[in-house]
Amino acid sequence: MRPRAWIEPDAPLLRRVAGIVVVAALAAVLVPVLGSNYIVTFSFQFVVWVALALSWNVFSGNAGYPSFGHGVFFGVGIYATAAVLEHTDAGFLVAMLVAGLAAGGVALVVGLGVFASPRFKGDLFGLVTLALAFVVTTVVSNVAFLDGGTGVFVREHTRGLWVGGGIRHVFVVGVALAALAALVALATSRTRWGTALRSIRDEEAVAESLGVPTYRYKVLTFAVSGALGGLIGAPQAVYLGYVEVGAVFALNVPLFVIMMTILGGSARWWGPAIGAAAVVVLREVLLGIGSPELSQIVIGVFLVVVIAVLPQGISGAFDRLRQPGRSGVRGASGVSR
Amino acid sequence: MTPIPTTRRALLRHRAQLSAGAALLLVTSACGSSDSEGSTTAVPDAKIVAPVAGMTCNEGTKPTGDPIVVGGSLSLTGPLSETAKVHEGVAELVTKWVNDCGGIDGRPLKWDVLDDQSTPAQVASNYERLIGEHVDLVMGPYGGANTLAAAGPVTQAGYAFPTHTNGAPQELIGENHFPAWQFDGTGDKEHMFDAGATTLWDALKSSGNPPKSVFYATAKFPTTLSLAAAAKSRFEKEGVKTTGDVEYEFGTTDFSSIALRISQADPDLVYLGGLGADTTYLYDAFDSIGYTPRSVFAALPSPASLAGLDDEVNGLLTLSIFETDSALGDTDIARYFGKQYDEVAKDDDLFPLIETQAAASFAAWQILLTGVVNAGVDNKAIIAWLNSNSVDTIAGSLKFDGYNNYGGDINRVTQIQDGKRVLVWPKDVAGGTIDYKP
Repeated sequence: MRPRAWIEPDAPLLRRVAGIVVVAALAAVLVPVLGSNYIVTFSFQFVVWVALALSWNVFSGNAGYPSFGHGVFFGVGIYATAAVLEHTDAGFLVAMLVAGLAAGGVALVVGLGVFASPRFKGDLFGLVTLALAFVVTTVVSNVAFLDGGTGVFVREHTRGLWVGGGIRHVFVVGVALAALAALVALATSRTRWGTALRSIRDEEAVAESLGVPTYRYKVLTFAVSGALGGLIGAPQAVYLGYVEVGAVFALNVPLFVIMMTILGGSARWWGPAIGAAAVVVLREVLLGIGSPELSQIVIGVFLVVVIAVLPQGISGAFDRLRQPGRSGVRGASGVSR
Repeated sequence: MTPIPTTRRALLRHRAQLSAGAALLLVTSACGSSDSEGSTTAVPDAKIVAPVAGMTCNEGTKPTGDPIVVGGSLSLTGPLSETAKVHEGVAELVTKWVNDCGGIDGRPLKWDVLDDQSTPAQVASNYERLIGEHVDLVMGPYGGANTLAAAGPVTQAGYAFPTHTNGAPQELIGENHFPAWQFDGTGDKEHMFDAGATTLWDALKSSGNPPKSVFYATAKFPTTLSLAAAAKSRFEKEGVKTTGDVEYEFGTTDFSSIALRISQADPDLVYLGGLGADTTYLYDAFDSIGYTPRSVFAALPSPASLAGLDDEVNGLLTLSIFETDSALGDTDIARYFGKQYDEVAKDDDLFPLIETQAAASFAAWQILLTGVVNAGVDNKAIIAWLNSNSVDTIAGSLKFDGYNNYGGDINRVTQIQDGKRVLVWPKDVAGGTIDYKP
């Protein structure tokens, strides 16, 4: 492998960083000012799913280790926030940091153990992360400090806090975290870090033989991905107002995240954001058709059709339109767009 | 699952498989099943009357003008859909009923429901959407977490918030909250479930053979944990011995180890703080070890699960706020509701029995409609009126003057007797007497 700097600060990269910051800043100002409560609420859900999908892709998409445990990190973040707000006088920022650290810590511990053995690849890794959901759910529902099965009423602990001042404040936090997830996702597309992850996905043994410290990359990136998932759990706890185990650790969270990433395409750092946008908007539009069963079936069929017609997801189609004849998938040492 | 993909083609194939799996799960989660076996509640000759006191029923008069739109979010798909569809059925029923009566002040009633897919996050968004669309009134969603998720936007927008099944009554919503499933709000929030426990104890005591020992098996679910804690405290105060106390994860289906522990303790009463089909699973586990419990109380079982157990659950006790064969069912409104609900149950494949869910759902509508009849389509006026008056509902007269706008506890005790549900306590509304000899 060609020795490269950790980050290659080129003009396109700086433009993209600036683009993310500007879009986030505009959204944080314009949506709360111009949007109705419904628009802001919808936009908050939008940025939550974007952040979750982007953060899932940071590890699972880049390294080729599909995790079914992203909902756990999100849930750990929600419960960590609830616990800090319920049991301490620390503000929301502290709660959010604890949420990120707690979720990242769980991911780190799991990663240290799981990636130590080459057996835990692919499907087995997926199963381990799925089992993680049951373990964490059991812990949370049995530890009274966190929940104990009775649920936690977060809303009564956010009264008087800035973030408890309404959905507009929660949205601003959500946008900031989605921007952070986007910046991290962008970083994986332009750095040696991302190249190493993709080499793991393409051929881990070869990457290892070429000197890529695959264990270190996997452990740390899984922790970063988990921490981002946990961070976005913090505003979600405030938004929900009341959290209980069954709803927080529902399996539909990782399911939707994976679906969004596949739909948007995991080969480009921004693909999951497009997938999240497509699913969230489609779901909201279909709410109005008056047939809930049909709307879910439509989403499922839409997913299958997109995969059949656009195997690299929606972002792959964008690339094909922009540069006809060029394959959009990167090689092991390639740079993601 | 397939091995990890190492080539582009394999990667794409792997994604397609993941996608197909995700799509299949979405589709199956959208399609619930429903057990429609059971006894009918129909009263074939019931005549139409106004659904609430103070409203006139002008049968045959077609309502005109702008509809009064009531918006709501229900879990029409996902894990909560089975029960939420009861509330959807009742909402459709009430809307048709009001319009068959000529509407309210001549205006038709319209029900505008959005599916929240059993996720509280979507519940809050749905209410914001409905409020943004300027619905006139709102009806609460199904379940405690969903109710509290909805409470934020609904309260902020100044709407009256009738709720049918808020299982987390101790969490403060506000003066706009009008709960149909009432717990005791006359004291502090720590003791809201105590009155229900007293009702259960009084029912058992009235048999002349109250239990001397109890084994508690409780689902880790907010409402059941609160109910069980209050019952245990009450029973222990009465000198009843606790022979076992286990909590199990919500969603547990294998009760064999719990059944074994119960059989070893052989208590006078098994207190099952369970929901849904937990009772079925526990009885299956009893069957497999050949144990017959002396007596069982099940907190929140689905009516279908009890009906499915036939004679096996004769004598079983449960909580309910309403039974058709009780004093509460002996009104023209209750009879007509029973007749209409039977038709809705047939059409929507619901279990044809009115107990807590359907009765609370109708009672919530009665609360809202009574507010409209007396204060007009004005949320501020409705809130003020309901806060200073009581409302006659199918579940009894309800007040909103205590903690979190709860009045007195309306949980009652029902017993399965010869395959039928009989409300046995309190005496003033009972349809029969308890038969309890553990």
